[in-house]
Amino acid sequence: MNDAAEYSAEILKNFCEFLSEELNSKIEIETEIPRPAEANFGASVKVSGKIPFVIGVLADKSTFHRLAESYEKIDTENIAEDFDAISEMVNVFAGQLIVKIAAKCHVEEDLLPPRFGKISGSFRVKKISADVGNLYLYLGGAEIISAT
Amino acid sequence: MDNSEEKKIRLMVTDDSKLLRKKLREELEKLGCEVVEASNGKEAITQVLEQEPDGVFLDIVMPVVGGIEALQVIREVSPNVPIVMLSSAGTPQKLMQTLKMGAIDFIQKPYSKEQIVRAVETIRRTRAKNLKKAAEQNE
Repeated sequence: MNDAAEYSAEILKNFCEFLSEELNSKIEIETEIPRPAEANFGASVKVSGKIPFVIGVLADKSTFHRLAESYEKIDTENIAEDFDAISEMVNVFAGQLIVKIAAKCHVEEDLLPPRFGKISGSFRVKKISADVGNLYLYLGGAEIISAT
Repeated sequence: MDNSEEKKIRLMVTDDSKLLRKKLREELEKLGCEVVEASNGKEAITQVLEQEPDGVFLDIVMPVVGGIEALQVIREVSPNVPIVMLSSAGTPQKLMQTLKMGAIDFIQKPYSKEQIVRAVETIRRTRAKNLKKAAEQNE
């Protein structure tokens, strides 16, 4: 892999397979769109190294909560637990991704600690539909969440 | 089984995810372990000095002080404590690096219950071996 954008389709496919397995849900990729205003809760992880990129998962508050509960298979008690759960989910997915990158390209990437919070910026996202609701995947070079 | 193996072992879980620490604590307590927690590498180093755990689960990607740096310091201040890396960043290079630095195992997240059971068995065995060696040296 030379550039994350070049492999975004592959990363998206990997993410959908990961979600399908972790959530035991049917996943459908819809389209790339500007971030909808309601998709304002998110968690992201930066992959650093030769191929730096940021992976973020966004949703509206109630979908974000359902996603957290579905991933952790527990009843989360508050938004802090939702952020914790989705941060860990993105972190685990990014980890699996850098293991694949290492095997395929012999490139060692690192992960930075997850960021999470409310989101207000404008950027494009991939819309994904799951049983828990509509999710949005961000894949790009810039951070979308301030340091937490 | 000697007395050292019968003792309830105290394990430290180091991860920045509170939910992960909670889940792992529950699983370790079911296995008869006492659990202390740390949310980053800096806390882990402090807890190793203060609590003297019998084994450590250590994440790599954490704020403040990460797991690799913490592993290095813990090895210096407590050379014999068994350390199991528990991380999403399980590339072959990280695996080799941490094993060379003295970790006894590396579990890639998401972990399974079976992996945790095996890790606890390995910690128990390593601890018993270290105690036996220390006793022989004191004789």
